[in-house]
Amino acid sequence: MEDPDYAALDPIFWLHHCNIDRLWAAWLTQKKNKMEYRKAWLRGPARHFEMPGPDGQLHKFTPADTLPGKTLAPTYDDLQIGTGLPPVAASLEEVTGAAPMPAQFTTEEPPPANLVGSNSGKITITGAPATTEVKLQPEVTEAAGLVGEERVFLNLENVRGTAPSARLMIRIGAPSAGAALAEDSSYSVPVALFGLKQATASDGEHGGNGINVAVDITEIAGKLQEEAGASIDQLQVRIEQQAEGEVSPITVDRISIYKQPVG
Amino acid sequence: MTPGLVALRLAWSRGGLRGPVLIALAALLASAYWETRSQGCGSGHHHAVAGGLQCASIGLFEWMLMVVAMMTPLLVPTINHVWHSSLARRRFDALLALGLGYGVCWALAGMLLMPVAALWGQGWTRAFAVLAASIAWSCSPISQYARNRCHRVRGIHPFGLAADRDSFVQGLAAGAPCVLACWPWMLVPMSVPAGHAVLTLAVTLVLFLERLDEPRKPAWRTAPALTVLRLLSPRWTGAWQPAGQGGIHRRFAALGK
Repeated sequence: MEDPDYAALDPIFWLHHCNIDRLWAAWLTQKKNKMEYRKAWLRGPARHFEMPGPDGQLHKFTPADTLPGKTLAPTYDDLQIGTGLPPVAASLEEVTGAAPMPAQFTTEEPPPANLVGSNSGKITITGAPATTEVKLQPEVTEAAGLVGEERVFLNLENVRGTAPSARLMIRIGAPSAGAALAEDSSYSVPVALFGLKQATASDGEHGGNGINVAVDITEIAGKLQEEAGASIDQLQVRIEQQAEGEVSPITVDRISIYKQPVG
Repeated sequence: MTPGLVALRLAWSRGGLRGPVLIALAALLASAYWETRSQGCGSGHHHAVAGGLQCASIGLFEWMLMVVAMMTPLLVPTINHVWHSSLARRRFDALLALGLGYGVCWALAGMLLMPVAALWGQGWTRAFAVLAASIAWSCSPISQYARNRCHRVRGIHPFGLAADRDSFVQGLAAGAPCVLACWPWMLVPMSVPAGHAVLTLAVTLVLFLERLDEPRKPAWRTAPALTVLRLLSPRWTGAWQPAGQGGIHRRFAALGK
């Protein structure tokens, strides 16, 4: 499962992907959510998705085919267990049948996310955790603070390594504002780096740029803001590898914070 | 989908393509206009260096116009990277520093290549020979290596001098492999006796398609511009299986066998 070249041979690969589809279906039952509906999404990439059918032939399909009511829309017995949905979000018929889904289709471009700060350079995570300071631009701290009517994202940019895959635990604090790195798991985010080695190869599909990871930390930032009681001008980020035994080093070119207005 | 195509689609959807394309067109027009005005230094580029310091600087100016016309569309993914990696208020400074770093690479290349072009001279046979050599160069492993490096982006510091420095270094990091991948192609429009602007446009298209091709293992290969053309054409999509195709698509296909 860890190596992209062989992952599809592991049954858990299929369970994992089916569950991602299921989480998406659960998300679609929420009226407040906006579902992308532009042609670029509906048609998929220039190189079509193809799957072998029971007839042994390859069949093309597009993302649009998988939307509720369309030919390849899956049906589910349960959309609550493990999805974080409040009970009785929508009737099963609404989700699985031809009835329109509660989430709204939109062809609007999502509001742009803007950089508000970053750490000062490349960090390397070996067997020991690496800690770095992420400075935020003064305007952020002078005005509304880190969290306003916006979502806050932590980005790990150009993550490279030699292992086929890796797992990281990111912990976030703001010691300079009086909110030290807490061991509490509600201040940390797990990240999976699937296909790390391939993304690092300069002659691979990623051109050696590695993996980029964006994590929504709006809730964590909100809690830190509350604890600090004032504006936060610097976050502390600690990253450690989650592995047993020997680990190979992982580098991150830049750790940045972006804010995006709630669309 | 190649990283180049992804970046291009993103740029397109955010309206970020208009600027670079307009700049390239303006430079192309200026270059064509300049060609008709600079007869004092010999006809166009090839005598520029022989005519003294003034003509050499005019030659360099023409060269840089040509670089802007041909390379701005190729730089779109890098421009996007620097733009989105910078604080909103610093974006134009960042692009300026990027352009400076990138320009330095091509200016140095121009100082070497313009005398070569002057020695080589102009003529249809000569132009055809340069074209053949350029195609051969594009098929070579060293050119593939350079094109792979063109996709590489660097982390950009958000604040102060470090931000300008990183954008400048990103310009160098994009410019050096770009020169290595494209240099013989630049000589094609310079060696034609007429139709300089048309050839500039045609070569730009070839280099643009090359830039869209996905990174591959450096080896002798058929011209990448052709493979990308096939990928873009709906007739070929799906039916065509690129040699280095990776990712989930290949895994599904392998399971079907």
